[in-house]
Amino acid sequence: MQSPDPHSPLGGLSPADLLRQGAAEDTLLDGVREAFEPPSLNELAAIFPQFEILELIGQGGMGAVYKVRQRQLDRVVALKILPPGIGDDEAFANRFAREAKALAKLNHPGIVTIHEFGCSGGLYFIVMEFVDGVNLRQLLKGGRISPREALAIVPQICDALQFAHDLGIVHRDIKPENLLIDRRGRVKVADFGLAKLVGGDPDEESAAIFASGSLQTEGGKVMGTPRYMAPEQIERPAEVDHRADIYALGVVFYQMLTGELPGERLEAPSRKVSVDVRLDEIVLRALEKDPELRYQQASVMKTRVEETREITPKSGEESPVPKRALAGIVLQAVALLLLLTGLREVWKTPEGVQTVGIYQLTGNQVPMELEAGLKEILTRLDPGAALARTADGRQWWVSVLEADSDVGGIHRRFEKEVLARFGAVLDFQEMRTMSAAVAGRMALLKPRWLLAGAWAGAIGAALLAISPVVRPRDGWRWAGPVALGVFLAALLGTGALLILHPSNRASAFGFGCFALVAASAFGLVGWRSAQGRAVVLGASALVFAWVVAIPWEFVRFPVGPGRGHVEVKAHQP
Amino acid sequence: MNRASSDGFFATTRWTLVMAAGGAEAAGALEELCAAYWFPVYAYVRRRGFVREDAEDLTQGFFASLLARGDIAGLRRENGKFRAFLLAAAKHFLSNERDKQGRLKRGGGAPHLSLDWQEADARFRLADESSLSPDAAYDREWATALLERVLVALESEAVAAGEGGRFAHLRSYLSFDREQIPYATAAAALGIDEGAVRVAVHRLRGRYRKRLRVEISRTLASPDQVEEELRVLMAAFG
Repeated sequence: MQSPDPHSPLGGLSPADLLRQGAAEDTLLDGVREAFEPPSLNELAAIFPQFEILELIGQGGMGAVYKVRQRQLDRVVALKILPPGIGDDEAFANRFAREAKALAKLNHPGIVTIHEFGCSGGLYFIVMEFVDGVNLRQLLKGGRISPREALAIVPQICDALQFAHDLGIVHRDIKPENLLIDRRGRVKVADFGLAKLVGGDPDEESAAIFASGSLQTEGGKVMGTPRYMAPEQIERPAEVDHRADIYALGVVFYQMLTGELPGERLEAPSRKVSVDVRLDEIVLRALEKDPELRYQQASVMKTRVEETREITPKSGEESPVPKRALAGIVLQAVALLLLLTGLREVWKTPEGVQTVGIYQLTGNQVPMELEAGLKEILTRLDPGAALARTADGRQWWVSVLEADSDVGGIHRRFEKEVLARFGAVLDFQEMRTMSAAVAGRMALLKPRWLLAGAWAGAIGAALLAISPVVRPRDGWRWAGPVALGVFLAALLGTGALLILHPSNRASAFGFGCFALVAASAFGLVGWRSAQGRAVVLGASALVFAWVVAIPWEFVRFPVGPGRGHVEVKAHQP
Repeated sequence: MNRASSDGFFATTRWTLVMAAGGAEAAGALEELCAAYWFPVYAYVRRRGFVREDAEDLTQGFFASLLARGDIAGLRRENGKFRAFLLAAAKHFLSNERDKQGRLKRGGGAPHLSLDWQEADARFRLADESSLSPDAAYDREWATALLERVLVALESEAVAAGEGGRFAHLRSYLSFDREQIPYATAAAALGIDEGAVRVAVHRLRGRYRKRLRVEISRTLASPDQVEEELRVLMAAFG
């Protein structure tokens, strides 16, 4: 130690250093923390016989919180005790009593309820709701909170703050340690107004000590409360109003998004991590140095945050798939399987001719054995042929796919046998032929499968379309635009092929199918983007239109099923 | 910690009292302020180039006339700051004195501050401020006088609480960055454990900050200006 110089007015101390230290704010209680030895469970049990002391759950610089059971009510509550000596004068006792009355009015699901205040055995204590969960500081320590979680937490805090602010109560010490999250994810704000209660003015050492120590459970370095303080709270403590809480919430929000406290030069969160730029605006507004420029009400901030959440629940790296979108994607996959099943035959069938022979009943009565007989003949001649009849049984319809080399062969043999057996009542009327390339394939489509696939695809696409657009994952952003490109190419390319080579419809058809499938695949990969979804929806609509048009082809030729014909299974198992 | 006495400090700062309508109380308050901050004026006069004897005369004369006049009309211009007011008044006085050179009289029934010139000279020579402008020297000395009052108040507080010895040891840590405080050494020297030293230092620093602001506020018309004034004083050492 320097020996004070008699002529040196400050005993050798540097006035500049003294002023600097005087202007500074000690970040929290650093060393003081270890000085407060919380009473042991036994000591406490002696002071509070009405409680069964269960465990010490939190210990801050100079406050300790115990989990206790209230014997009379058999309920678990939290008992916070202030260190002995914190309020050793009358002024403190009066203030404690006065503030306690105000705080007891804070009855809100988002605020830790105060059950009782008092002084017992020389210890000031607060009995409050026990929150089974963790505080935000612990969550932050465990790794960065996802932006989605932050967006779920902040509006709840806003609600609680608005409620208290409406009652004229300012928290004054919003920070992660005071934000508790229970097991159901509900946020509860703790230690409302305690900073003011314990310290008559915020300069008050005990206020800082008490407030900062609140529910701080682990060892390790405590971030000083001043980091969360609005500039006016540090400079003009007397003028603090509810907007200081909004600033502190801004700091907490910033920390949740970026994992860091705002620095000297305030950088927008989206510049540090990948979050929605609209969050920047909210956070930076809350962090305005001038209270007038901040959100004036916590409720307004809440609305802004929720707007962001509704439009993009997503931001950040991994965002979960909305349920609707997930259902849409599953349906799309099912649709693809159904469509492929429906189309399966088309790919493996060689070119051929679809022919239908039509027989007309000549008599008035439909012989009982007619249907069984026709089935028998047909099955014997061609197991792949199909038999149909009108509901009244007066017209019969034999559909056969024939090889190009033997068009009409089966019909001739069928006709011969039918007329030999049922010539008295049945007459051959006509035979119609469809083009080999288009109609031949068409006849091999399985309309029911296709229809089911088309419906599934359309519903899936619609679900996808109405589920909120989400931010594409990095590395997959290309998928949406590519899908759109391929889709347009499918439409334009098919059209161009049809115009340039009108005779070769099969090529256009094949190209269109292939391009559409590719576009859908890209669309599904890029489902998070609007383009990807538009493509999926468009492709589904086209497939749907095409599939429902298939029966129409049958209507034209010669009479569609369901239009007076009943299918008769000619196949034998 | 004396909470009761700290209540309502800001409501009646000394300077506010002076600025309010006169009366005996105001005169007393002004005298108290002058007694606290006469040295910066003396240092200013010396820096203006007056030799020791002349500076003593001028300083004494200035305060005599200020206290005799008892009114501070027209002085509210200085933003409600006693520091600024006193300097402006001193400059005004010096320029007037130059006009009536030689007619200066000491004392002569006027209110009189008992000033320790011996110490003032030693102190002035000790503070090597030759490179500073008179105004800057004034601000530095002002800050020093202010801090001195704060430390004296803290010391008497500690002595009253029977902790004079501990204060003598811990006071120097008030100028330290917190990380630099050698808690272990202090603990050994004081014969208490380190935790207790941390608590004591923390409390002392808290009291110091509070007392500093109280002292500053006494020289201001409005408590709002405390932080601003603190910055100005810090800037004087920049």
